Amino acid sequence: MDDDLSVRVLLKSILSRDNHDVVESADGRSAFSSLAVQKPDIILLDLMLPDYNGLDILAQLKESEELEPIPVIVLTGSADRESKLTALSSGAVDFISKPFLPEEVLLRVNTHLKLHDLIRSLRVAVDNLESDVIAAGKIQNALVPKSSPQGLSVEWIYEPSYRVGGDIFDVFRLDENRYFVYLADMSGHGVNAAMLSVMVHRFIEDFRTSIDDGEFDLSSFMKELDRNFIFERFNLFFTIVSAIVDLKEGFVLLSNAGHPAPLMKREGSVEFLEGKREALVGINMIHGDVSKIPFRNGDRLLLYTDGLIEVTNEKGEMYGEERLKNLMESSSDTDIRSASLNLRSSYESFKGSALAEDDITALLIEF
Amino acid sequence: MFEFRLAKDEIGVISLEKRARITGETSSNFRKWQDTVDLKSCSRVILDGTNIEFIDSMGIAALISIYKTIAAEGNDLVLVNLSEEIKKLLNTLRLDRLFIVKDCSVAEAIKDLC
Repeated sequence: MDDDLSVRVLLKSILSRDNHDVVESADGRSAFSSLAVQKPDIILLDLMLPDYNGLDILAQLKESEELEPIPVIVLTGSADRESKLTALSSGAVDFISKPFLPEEVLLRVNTHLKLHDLIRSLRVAVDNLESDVIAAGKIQNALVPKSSPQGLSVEWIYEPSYRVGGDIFDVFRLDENRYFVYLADMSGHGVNAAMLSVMVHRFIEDFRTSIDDGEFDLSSFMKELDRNFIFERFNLFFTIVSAIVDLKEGFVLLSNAGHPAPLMKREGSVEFLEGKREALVGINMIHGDVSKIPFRNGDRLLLYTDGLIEVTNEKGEMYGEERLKNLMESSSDTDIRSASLNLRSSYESFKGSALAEDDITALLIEF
Repeated sequence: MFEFRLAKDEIGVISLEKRARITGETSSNFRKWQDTVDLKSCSRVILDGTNIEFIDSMGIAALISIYKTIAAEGNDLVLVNLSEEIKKLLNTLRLDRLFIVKDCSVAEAIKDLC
């Protein structure tokens, strides 16, 4: 766009020689009507047009969602420093001062066309990646249960820090009175951690179907996991807490490999279950140690990943074990649905506007 | 970011040039760095934790990776000058059974006086 015919003719001949198709306009009005017909790859805009100020046209281009991505190079008189700056800060990618050399015009135009093309392909790549990750997140979400198994009262919070996470859990019924629960946390929390979490889930399903549910043994389950997820194979490890709840006999069998200590509420008092702990899964240190924890009706067990106690606020403080324990105590008289909602609002209000750094998963079971 | 020096008798010492967090991002650099040093021929490797500000699970994976390299030759990984939080983390993960965690200086660890 330039009102000076000689400039338009000159630009057209320079650009046509380099195989560019050029559409010219002498004023703002005709420019916008040809923009409505066909979108160019790049716009050369004179700042002084008869019916418009070039800067107004630039502003109008940048306001339009459709025209905004088109790179604009402004043409100015060499003395006009101020409007060059204004143009650049208003979204122009570059300027060409009149009088210009043909080589300079070609170099600037071709550079910006190339740059624009790269940005566009980068945007497409990022969009594709993003939609893949969203799809992966859906797959991961489909693996965790939708509702409590019949006969056991469980509530959970499952919040990946990004679209996919490194936490996974499951709860299922083994037989009339026994339930199996596990909660695992992969090292890291990106796509690789999410893929490992899916493998772990799959492995556990296979383990379960390979044996009779009545024969399900926690100790051999943990040893089998450790044998199969070798650190060198994935360069990742995970922590897991798994439990068998026996409602008839009134006890939980618990095996903890590297996970933070579960919390147990017994008749109003809340304590951490330290018990026998084992190392991480994947570095071949698991002996399959299991502790037996008795419970009474109405007692509660909270399993959680370290992401919960490591929720960090803007001051850099962590949510911590004490807050978690106090919250369990103060919620002990409410039903477990409300207790779980209290927990979520407690850490969320603690976190404030700070970013979530790790995945958060918590499972609250009432006997 | 990481420094490696050989003390007497094939004892390797790893330290950080300046205070840093060992997280997912640094641990991939760490792997590349690890390939450039010869940990296998060290009779013992001492990691000086003075400048480790924080360590996440991917950082722990980097430590395990060093440990696996050294342990394959039957040698020890000794960690000194760790902050209380990191020691607590290693204890929770039961990694203090895998690595040797000591409260002493690098010089003492080299002389095996602790």
